[in-house]
Amino acid sequence: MMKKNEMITPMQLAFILYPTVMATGFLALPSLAASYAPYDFWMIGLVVLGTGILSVAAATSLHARFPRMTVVECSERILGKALGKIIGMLYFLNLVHVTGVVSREYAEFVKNNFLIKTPMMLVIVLMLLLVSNAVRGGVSVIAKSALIFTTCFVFPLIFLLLLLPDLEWGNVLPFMSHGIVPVLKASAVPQSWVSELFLINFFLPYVSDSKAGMKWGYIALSAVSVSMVLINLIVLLVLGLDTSNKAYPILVAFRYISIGGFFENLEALLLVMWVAGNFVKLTVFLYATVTAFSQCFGVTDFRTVVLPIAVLASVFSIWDLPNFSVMQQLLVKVGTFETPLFMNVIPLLLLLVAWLTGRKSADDGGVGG
Amino acid sequence: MRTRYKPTASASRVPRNRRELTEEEKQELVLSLADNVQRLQALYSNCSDVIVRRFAIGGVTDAALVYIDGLIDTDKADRYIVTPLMDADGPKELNLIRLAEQRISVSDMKAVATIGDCISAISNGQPVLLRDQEASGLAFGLPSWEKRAIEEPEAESTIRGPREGFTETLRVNTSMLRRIIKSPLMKLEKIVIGEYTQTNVVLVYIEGLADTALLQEARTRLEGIRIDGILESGYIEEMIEDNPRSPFPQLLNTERPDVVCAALLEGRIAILTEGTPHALIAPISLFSLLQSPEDYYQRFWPSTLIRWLRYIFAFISLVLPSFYVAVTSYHQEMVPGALLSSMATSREPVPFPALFEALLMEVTFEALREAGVRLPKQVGAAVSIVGALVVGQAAVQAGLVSAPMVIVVAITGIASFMLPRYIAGIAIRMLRFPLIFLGGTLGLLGIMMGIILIVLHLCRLQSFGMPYLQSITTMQRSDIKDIVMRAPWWALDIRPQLNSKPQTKREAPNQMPDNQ
Amino acid sequence: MNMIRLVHAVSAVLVLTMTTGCWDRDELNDLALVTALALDQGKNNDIVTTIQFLLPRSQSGVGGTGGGGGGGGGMNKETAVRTASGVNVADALSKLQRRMPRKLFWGQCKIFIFGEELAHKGIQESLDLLSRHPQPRERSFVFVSAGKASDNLELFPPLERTSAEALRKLSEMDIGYKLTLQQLNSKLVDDSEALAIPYIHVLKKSKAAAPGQTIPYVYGSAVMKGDRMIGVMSEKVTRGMMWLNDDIGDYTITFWMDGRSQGAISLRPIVAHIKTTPLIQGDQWMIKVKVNVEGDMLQNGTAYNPVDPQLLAKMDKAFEKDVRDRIELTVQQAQHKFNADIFDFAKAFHRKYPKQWEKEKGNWDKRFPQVKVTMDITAHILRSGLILAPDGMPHDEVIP
Repeated sequence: MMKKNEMITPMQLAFILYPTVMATGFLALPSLAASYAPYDFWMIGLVVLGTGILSVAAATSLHARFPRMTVVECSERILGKALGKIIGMLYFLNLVHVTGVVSREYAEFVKNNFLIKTPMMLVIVLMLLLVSNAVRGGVSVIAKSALIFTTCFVFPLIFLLLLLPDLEWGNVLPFMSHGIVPVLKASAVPQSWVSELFLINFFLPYVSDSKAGMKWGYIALSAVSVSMVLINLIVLLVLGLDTSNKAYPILVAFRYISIGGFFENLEALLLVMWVAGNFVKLTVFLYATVTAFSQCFGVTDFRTVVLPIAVLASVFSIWDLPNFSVMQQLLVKVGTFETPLFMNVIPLLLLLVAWLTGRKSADDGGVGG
Repeated sequence: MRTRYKPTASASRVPRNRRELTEEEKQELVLSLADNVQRLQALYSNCSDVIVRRFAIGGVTDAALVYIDGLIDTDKADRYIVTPLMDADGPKELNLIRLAEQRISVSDMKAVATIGDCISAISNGQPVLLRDQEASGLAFGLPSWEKRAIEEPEAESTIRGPREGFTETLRVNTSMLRRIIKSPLMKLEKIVIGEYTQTNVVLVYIEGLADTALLQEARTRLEGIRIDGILESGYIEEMIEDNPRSPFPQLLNTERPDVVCAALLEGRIAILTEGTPHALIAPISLFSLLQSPEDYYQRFWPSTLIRWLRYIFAFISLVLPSFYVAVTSYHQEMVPGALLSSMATSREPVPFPALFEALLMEVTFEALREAGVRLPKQVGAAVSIVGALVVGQAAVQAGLVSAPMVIVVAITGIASFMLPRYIAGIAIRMLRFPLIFLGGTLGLLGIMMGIILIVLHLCRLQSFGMPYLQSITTMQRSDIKDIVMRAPWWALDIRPQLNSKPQTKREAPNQMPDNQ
Repeated sequence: MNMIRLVHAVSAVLVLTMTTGCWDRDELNDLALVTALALDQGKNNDIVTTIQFLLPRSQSGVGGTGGGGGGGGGMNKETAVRTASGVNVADALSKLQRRMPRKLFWGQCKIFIFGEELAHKGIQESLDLLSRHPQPRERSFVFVSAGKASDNLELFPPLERTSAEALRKLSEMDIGYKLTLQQLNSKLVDDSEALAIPYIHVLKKSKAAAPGQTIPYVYGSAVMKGDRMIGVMSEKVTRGMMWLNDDIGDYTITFWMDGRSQGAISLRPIVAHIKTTPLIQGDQWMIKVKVNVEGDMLQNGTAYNPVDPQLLAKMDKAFEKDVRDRIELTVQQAQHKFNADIFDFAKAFHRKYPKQWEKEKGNWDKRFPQVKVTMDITAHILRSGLILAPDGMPHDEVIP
C-alpha cells in the first residue's frame, strides 16, 4: 500500500500528535471548561492525562502485538474477516466524520473573525485540497511538514507570556470550592480530544524505532497536558469569570497583548497558529481515514482514494451542522462519547479479545503497511 | 532511483557519453601518407583553421603534422617536433614511436590509430604527426590557447577567504582543486557530453567520502544526457535535476574552488564543465542556498548572527509584500493605530487597489534590477539611481503609489540581495508573486495557504536522492549545529548527513582549544 | 510528477481565489477609521451613536480644511463626527453607515464613551455589541461622560491629532483611573456587581484657543451598580478607591502638616504595597487593609527640615494620616452613600471563604455596608531630593 522505505523518526511522531489533539481544542477549550468549573478549569490538563495514557497504551500495545498493522487490519485478525471489516468500516465512518467536523471548526473560526464574508465552503475546500496534497505524499511528507507546522503552531504560544503584566493571580481562587466533581465534568470534552492520541496507531508501522515511538507518544501527551494547563491558566488569570462567556478565549487573550502601545493586535499570530495546527490535524485525520478505508476495502494504491474521501469529508463538514451552536453541541454532547469509543473502548476490547484468544500477528510480515 | 535516468539500450551500447562515430571516423589509418592526409582534409574541408605541414624526416621520409591553428603552441611544435625530425639521420626503418622516443622532446605523446582518434586529438589542441608507410600516427600534447587569467569571482565575493575563481579552462579549474586537495583519493572522472561540442565534463569526488550509490546515480544521469552541445553547466543542471519543474535549484553552482572543495570534503560531488567557470555541486539542501562560504571563514559568532539575519531576510523577501497587501486590504486592525492612520493618509490619493499597487511596484522593481544587471557597470549604477530615486519619488508624489509600498518594495529588494546564492534569490523572488496574489485575494489565510503549499513542495523535493529539508526534518544534532548557528570549527566534528548511511567524523576528538 | 500536481494545485488555488475571492477586501481608501464611539440616550428610548473618524489628508498637504475650519487659529481639523440614532446600537450604527460614504472601521477605535443619561439607564445591552463584534478591541478604554458623550468627540486637541487619542494617552499614562472594555466585562460578572467607570469632562478651553480646541479629561468616576450608574465619585474618592484596589500608579500625593497650619508637603514618586485580607469572625465580616507606602519629597511647604529624623517622623505621621483619611473617606462613601462594592470585597471573601460566601451571596447588598474595614498603615518619606532645608528660607526660620 505504502512504499516500505517510507519511514518517519520517532520524534516526528510527537510533532504529528501534538497538534492532532491541540489544534482545534485549545481555542474553545477554556470557555467549554470554564462553564463547569469557573475557577478550577486549569486543572483539566492534568485530569486528561488518564485518557491520554489509556489511548497511547492501547495504540502501542496493539502495535506490539501486531507490528506493521493498524487497528483496522488487526481487528480483522482478531475478530475474523466479517466482524473485522465492520469494525474497519466503523472506523472509517467515524474518522471521516471527525475530519469533516474538524474542518468545519477550522472554517468557523476563520469566518467568524477574519474573513467574515468569504463563503465557508471555500475556506474548507482550499484547506482540504492542501491536506489531500500532503496526504498523497505519504507518511514521510506528513511527518516532515508536521515538524515545520507544529513548530509554527507552538511558537506563537510563547507570546502569551507577554500577558504577564495583566495576569491577576487571585483569579485561581477559590481553589476547588466545589470539590473535584466540576473539574471532572469540565474535562469530559477535553479528554475526548486527548483520546485522539490513539491515532499514533496509524503511524507506528512506519516508525523506524517503535520503542522510541512509544516514548515520544508519551512525550506528546505530556506536552499536551502542560500546554492545556498553561493556556487555561493564562486565560483564567486574564479573563477570570468572563472566560466562559467568550467563544474563543484565546483569541481575546492574544488581542489583549499590548506592549508599549505598538506591539499589539497579535491575532495574526493566532491565525498562523490556527491554520498551521489545523493543517497538521486534518492531515493526520485524513490520512487515518484514507488508511482505514483502503485497508478495509483492500485498495492497492491509497492515493487514488484521497481526493474522493476529502470530498466526502467536506460534505460531512456542512451536513447536519446548520450553525455554530449546533456544532458546539455536537462537540460537547456527541464528541465526548463518540471519540473515546473509537479511540479507547474499541481498541481496549480488541486487545482484550486478542489476549483471551492469544492471537498475535503471524510472523510473515507481508500483510502490514 | 528514477526510471528516467536509467541507461537506455543505446546508451549501454555506447560506453561513455559520446556521439556515435561516423563511418569515416571509424576507419583505421592506412600506410599511405597521402591517403591519410587526404581523408583528414576531406573531413576538415572548408576549415580554414586546419593546417597540414608537410616535411621530410631526415630529408627522406615524407611526413605531415596536422593541427588547428591557435590551439597549439606552434613555436614549440617547430622546435621540438619538426626541427629534430628534419635533422634526424638515423636508420629509416625505425618505426614512428621509436623515432619519437629518440628525437622528440615533448612529454605528452600518444599513438593514434584511427581517423576518429586523429580528429579528437587535433580538436583538443594536439598536433598529429603522420608518416608515410606507417598505419598509425602520434599526437603531442602541446595545447596552447588564449585564456582568461584567474580572477576574483564577482558573483560570490567575500571579505575573508580565497580570491581566486574558476576560469573557462577545465584544466586550470581542476588544477585549482588539486592544489587544495592533494590526496590521490580525489578523483576526477572525465565524461564527454555533446554531439558537436564534445564538451569535457569532469565528475569530481573524494573516494571514500562520497557515497557510491550517489556516484553511480550521478554517472548514470550524466551519461544519459543526449544533446548537441553543452555551452554552460546550466545545460547539465537542467538535464539531471530530480524535480525539473521545481522553482528551487537542486544543484548548487559556484565559481569558487574553495566552495567545491568544502563540498567534496563533506562527501558531496562536483561537476566541472569545460568552457564555464561555474561548477555544480550535489546533493544540496535548502540551507546550502542560505550559506555563504564566508560563514566558515569568519569567527563563529558573527557567522551565526549573519546567518540568522539572512534567514529572517529570506523570509521577509518572500512574504513582506504579500503580508503588506493582506494587512492593508484585509486585516487593517492588525496595524498599530498611529501607523494605520499615516498609512491611510499616504494611500489616500492612490487610485489602485493594494494588490495591483504591489504587483506594479514589484514588477517595476524586477525590471529595474534586470536592467541594472545587463548593462555595463557604469551605466548600471545610473539605472538604479534613476529607477530607485527618481521614479520612486515621482510615483509617490504623483499619487500613483503610496510611500509605504515603496518602502516595502525597497526592503524586499534589499532582503533578496541578502541571499548569498543568486539562484536562491531568484526562486524566492518568483514565489513572491503568487503569494502577493494570495495575500490580495484571501488575506493572511491565503498567504498561509501559499506557504503551506511551498513547504509541502519542499518536503517532497530531493536533490540526488537527499531530501531537501534533510537537516531540519530529521533534527540531527550534528546538522542542526550548522543551521541554527554556525558552530565553531572544533564543534563541527561530524560530516553532514547526506544519506541514510552513518555519518563520519572529520576531526579528531577534543579539538576545542584549552581555555587559557 | 509531483510538480505537475503542484502546478495544478497552484493554478487551481489561483483560479479559485481570483474568480471567487475578495469578499472581505476593503481597501484603506474605502474605510473610515473610527477613533471613538459615543453613546447617548435619545428620544423615545432611542440610542444616539456618534462616531469620530479620521480625515486621511496629509498633514503637509493643502487639504480642503480652510473653508469649513474652525477659523481663528488656522486649526487643521483631523477628525470629523457623525451621528445617527436607532433602537439599539447596532441599528443606530447601521443608520450611521448609510450616511457615510466609507465603511466604518472599528479596529482602531479604542475609546467608548457612554453619556451620563444612558449610563443611568444601563449599559449592558450596548456593551454586548462591543464585545460581540470582532473588530472593537478588548483593550479599548471605556468612559462615562458628564453631560452628553458626543460633546467629547467634537473637540480638536491642540497636542494630539484627535480627542480620542488625547483620552487614550491620558489613560495610558498610568496617573488616573482607567478601565478597559475587558476589565469592564469581567467586573460586571464578578461577585460584587459594582464598579466604577472613569468619568470625563470637557476641559474648559483657554482664552486664546479656537472654539473646540480643548480635550476631554478624566476626573472622578461614575459608580455603577450592576450596569446602571448610581452616582459620581469625586477625584479624591476615586483615588481612595485606587488605593484600596492597589491600582495606584505614577502620581503625586500632597498632604497638610497638622491640619492646614503648617503648610503642605508633596511626594513623588510613591511606591505603595497594599494588601487587603478578608476575615470573618462570627457574624462580623472584616477587611484588614495593610498599607505600606513610601515616597520621595517633591515639595516642602513647611518650615520643617527633613534631615532631622524626629521631624521626618512627624511628617511620616501626617503622610500616614492622609492615606488613612483618603481610604476611610472612600470606604465611607462606598458603603453608605452608594452601597456599591467597588473594591471587590465580595471577591475577596469568596476566595477566602467560599462556603460562607455561597450562603451570603444573595445578601451582599445588606452585608456590604456592615463590613468593617480596619487599617494598618505604615508611611515613610525616603528621600528629600536635591536640597535639604526648605529652599529660600532664612536659616533661622527653619525648624531644625
